[in-house]
Amino acid sequence: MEAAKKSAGEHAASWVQYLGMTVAMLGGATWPAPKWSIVAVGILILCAGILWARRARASTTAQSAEGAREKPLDYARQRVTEALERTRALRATAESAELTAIAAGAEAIVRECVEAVAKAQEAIAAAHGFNAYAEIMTPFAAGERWLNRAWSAASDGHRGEATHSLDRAIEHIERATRAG
Amino acid sequence: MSSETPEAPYREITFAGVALGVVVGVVMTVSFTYAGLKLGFTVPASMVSAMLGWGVLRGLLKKGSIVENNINQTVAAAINVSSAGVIFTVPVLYLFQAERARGAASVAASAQRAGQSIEQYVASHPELQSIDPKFLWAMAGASVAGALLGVLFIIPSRKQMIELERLVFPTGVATATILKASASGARRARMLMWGIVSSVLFATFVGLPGVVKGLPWPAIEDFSISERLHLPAWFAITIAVSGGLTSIGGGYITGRAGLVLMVGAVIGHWIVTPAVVTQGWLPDRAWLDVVARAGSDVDAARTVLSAHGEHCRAANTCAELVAVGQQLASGAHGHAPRETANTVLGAWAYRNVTRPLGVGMLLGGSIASVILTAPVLLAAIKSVRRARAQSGSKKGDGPEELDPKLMYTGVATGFVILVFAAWMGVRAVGTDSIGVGSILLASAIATAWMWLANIIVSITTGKTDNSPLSGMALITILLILTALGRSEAGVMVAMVMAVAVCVATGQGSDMMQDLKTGHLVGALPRRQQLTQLVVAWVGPLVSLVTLFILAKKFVLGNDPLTAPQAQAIKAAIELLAPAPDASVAQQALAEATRLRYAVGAAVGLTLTLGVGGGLGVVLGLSMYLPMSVTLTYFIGCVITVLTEKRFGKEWVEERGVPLAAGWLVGEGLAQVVLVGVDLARVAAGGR
Repeated sequence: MEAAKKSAGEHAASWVQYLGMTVAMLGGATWPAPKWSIVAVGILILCAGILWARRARASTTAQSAEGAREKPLDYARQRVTEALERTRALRATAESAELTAIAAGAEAIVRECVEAVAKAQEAIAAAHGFNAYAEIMTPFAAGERWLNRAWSAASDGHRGEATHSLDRAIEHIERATRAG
Repeated sequence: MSSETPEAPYREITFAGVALGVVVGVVMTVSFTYAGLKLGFTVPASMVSAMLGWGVLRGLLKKGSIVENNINQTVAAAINVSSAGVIFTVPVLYLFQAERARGAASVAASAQRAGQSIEQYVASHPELQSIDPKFLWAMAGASVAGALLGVLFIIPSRKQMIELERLVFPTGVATATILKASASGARRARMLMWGIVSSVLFATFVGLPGVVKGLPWPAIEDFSISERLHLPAWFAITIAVSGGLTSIGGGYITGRAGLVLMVGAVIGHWIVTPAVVTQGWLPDRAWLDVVARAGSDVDAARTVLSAHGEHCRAANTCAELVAVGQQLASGAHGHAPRETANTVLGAWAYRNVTRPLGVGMLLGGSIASVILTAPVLLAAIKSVRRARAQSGSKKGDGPEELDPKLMYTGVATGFVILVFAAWMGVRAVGTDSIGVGSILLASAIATAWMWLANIIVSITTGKTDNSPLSGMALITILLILTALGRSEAGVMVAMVMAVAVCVATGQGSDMMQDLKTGHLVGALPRRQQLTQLVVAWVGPLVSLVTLFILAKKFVLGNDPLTAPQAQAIKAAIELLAPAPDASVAQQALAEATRLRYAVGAAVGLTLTLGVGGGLGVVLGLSMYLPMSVTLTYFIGCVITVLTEKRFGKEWVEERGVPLAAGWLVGEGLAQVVLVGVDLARVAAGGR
């Protein structure tokens, strides 16, 4: 899932915000003192743009929610579960597998699972609030760091540290599956 | 990729890694204290030290690991980063001292005896700018306090900025690319090397004329498209040449997310600045008359300038306009008269209108970001405590983050050192106009602001790789002088706090860059945080000693050590806090600047509270930065979008990002080489 795509309404609202910012800045640039009335008009236009963007976003969210209200969060949970299964599988073979295979496996989990959840940040936050995203991502990102360490250790030829790092990654990703 | 090794402990914090980082950090600090005083900017040590790390740890010692080399680069960068904070601020004291010398009757008499102007006499006598060692002790205390507080204040934001918001930190990514290069596959390593080689060659070619005189090609800072299109100079369409590959590389690594930076640049440089000039929102509209006449009737323009120049001089203001007026009047200008005047008007509008609006927006946007992220930040701090309780119970890894008790103790220690430094500074001035209560108040204001400024700079660095350090120093000076008033002791306390804030924000953003690198290679955050904390105080002291030695030989503010950033801060002190006997024009300009901060802050606050995502911070930064930096950076972002569309995401990750990382590294390496050449030339007696 890509980051939440902006609708045409949201794009138009962004331009209204930039217009408001421009007007306010021009009001602030006059000599010798800012023209406060122009600044105020600019901020009003900016606020109008913000409100329009929120309505447009709410409308987009409502439309998508008609189909599946829990979709972004479900998607994130699926990726976390997938990451857990793949990390466990990697750990199960880590004692005897080629070190290059351990590094490649860890890198693939980060790229295909962790980054996928990170990219869904806006969608999750829009549908469920940033805290919902943070609850999942905090332990998941810690797991990601241990996967990165497994990559480094495997690349350095240190099997013991690589397997230990996979163990720690599993602990954190398990916490992520229980979050949210 | 390395072959399997026997199961010795995995190397991370080692004597070799730390020692190498200290050596590289100290050498780069000495070099870049000199270079920064000459050029006005420094180069981060992280990428250069990561490359050297591979050569020494793995090449010579045959036992380096990726995370060990990460500690090496963390140490080197922690030491070197403080040089920027020191050279942007401390030379201001020398500049003020030299100014005092220029006004002294004894100096005037000596200059007359020597048959020199006062300016020439002061410029050739470094002893006239010497300052009481007590001032340096005060600055040393301020910089150590700043280093300590800067690291500690930013640690709780690690989870928020790196793990949740996933800010890009292009330099951090580039450093991680180097650390991982030996094991990332031949293609990525090859692209990285191509990037480094092409960037070193390009940056050396561009920078060499600034160091070695008499070369057949000129030094080129920027390429002005405006000039080619015969547009007025205040409509800036400029691409950075010196440092250009760094900006393009940074933009490429940031990708699509960086495109929005151009919006602020368009508003600032293509709408606000031209409006100020064309609508005559200037202290004196007579300048427009000059510009209007300069194109068709140069003699008439010179007449106006001549009369107007005298007016400016009498009012002790618009000094740069006077300078250009004199150039125009004498015909000693490189461009057509109209363009010369346009250039000055555009620069005035950018410096006094667009930039303050941008700084205000940065400020307002950051306050809003803190408000919006406060709940998540608090949750992150709680999770640090939880993680501490949960982890470390087995397998000896220890907690992920630094012990909160150690952090609280460190913050208290830093605050006490800051108060002591300010007290030393006031004592050095020799007046009792500021008491302990005022010093405590100033320290409390500066510490609170330091925390916010640290977040501002870390966000801007994370999103764009640019850090508005001097802007943060200016706001510090404004805050302290507003609280204490403009007395000699007040300026001294403001300088102490500015040094502390500048060093702190540099340390904080560097810590975040290093933690980003660490995240990508799987380093343990606590080990990096502890290492940075242990060595952070070294850099400011090395930089201060270097500055002290250089000031024995060179008069700061004069060729070759023009100290451009410090000159700008000195000018800002005079602008923002004019002396009670300052002219009406100066006081009006100061008041206008403060109001522009307020307008910018209101817009930044509204935009960020309403839209979120740090939008106010990013747009404020792009109004603050010169167009050449933003436009070049934007080109890098556009190239990412185009290459991703044409060749796909994998191509970008496999080839584009390593190449861009190489460009970032190469510029840094080239600067080290150029500074080395320059230092050798100066040591051999050249100036």
